[in-house]
Amino acid sequence: MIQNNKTILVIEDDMVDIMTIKRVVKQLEITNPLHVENNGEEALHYLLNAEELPGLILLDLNMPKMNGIEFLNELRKINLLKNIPVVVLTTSKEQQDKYNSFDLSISGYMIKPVDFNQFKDMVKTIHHYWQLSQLPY
Amino acid sequence: MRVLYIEDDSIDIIAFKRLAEKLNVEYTILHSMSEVEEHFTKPRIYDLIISDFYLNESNANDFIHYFNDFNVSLISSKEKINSLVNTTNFQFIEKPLNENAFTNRTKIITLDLTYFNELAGDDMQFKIEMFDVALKSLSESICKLQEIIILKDFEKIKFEVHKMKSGIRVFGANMISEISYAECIALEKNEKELFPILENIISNTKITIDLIKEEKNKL
Repeated sequence: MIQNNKTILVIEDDMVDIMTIKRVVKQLEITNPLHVENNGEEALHYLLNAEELPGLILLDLNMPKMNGIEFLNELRKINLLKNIPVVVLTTSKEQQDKYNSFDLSISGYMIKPVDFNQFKDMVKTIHHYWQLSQLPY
Repeated sequence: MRVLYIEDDSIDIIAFKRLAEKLNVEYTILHSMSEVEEHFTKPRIYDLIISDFYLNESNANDFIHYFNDFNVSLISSKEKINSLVNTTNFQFIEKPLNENAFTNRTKIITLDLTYFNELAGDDMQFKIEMFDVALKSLSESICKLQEIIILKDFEKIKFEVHKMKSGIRVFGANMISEISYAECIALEKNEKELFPILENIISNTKITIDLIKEEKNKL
């Protein structure tokens, strides 16, 4: 039933958050390869040169150079990349960020909980859902 | 020190006011769940929330979700606490509120390492690495924040304040609500209110850094 073992691309500039996500992925025994880019610009460069598209992008919004919303804007313009599912993983509760993200066809908007087990459950649920879902490529 | 006190009993309220005024604490009092609901329709900032577990028409389970980012203590009578402690994860203070219990809860900055310990488990190398990464990141944020405050660049202030959240969250420092509030008012370019809060955030982050260093030294 499980559909894919594609790479999960994490776009995040904060080292504490990167370490946290990697750690949770390890604890959950998720076997998908994890690739990290530190801002939207670098992520686009990676995607345009990747041999295989990732199965899922976990995207932070608050980043230097090219932030999450700017990245989504660019991503949706590129035919090759526009269908990659993107889940926003942020601490921003701003309504405008949510509107802007959903306008750009994200698959989910997750606010990082302050409770560790809730965060772990969140990652587990996102992973499980996208393991089961068919991808358009 | 800003305290929100939620209580429906008028005698307990008088006692709290007397204590808060003696200790020179800034306070707000709410009397019911409907007042809590109304109050939290706007972003708020408190260093501590003390709430009666039972308000006349409800109990803390009904309204605790409003206090997610805050340092919260629930207050109730000794008998009621005894029946509640095994069924909830809340922190309780016994009624009547005394000066000792109050000052213990109003220590300015504390760490709660639950998140960090659950994340790291027994992996010592990960713990050391996370301590170092967070210390570096928070120190850099303070420096950047001090630079951009002078420039009054509200976009960058909001960005930098937001960045501090992850290090603060992992080590459970009780200043997330203050940071979230600063983000809101940076967005509104509310200079008059923002700058004193930023000064507070910088000094509290320095305390947090010292506390994290202390924890690292315990390893």
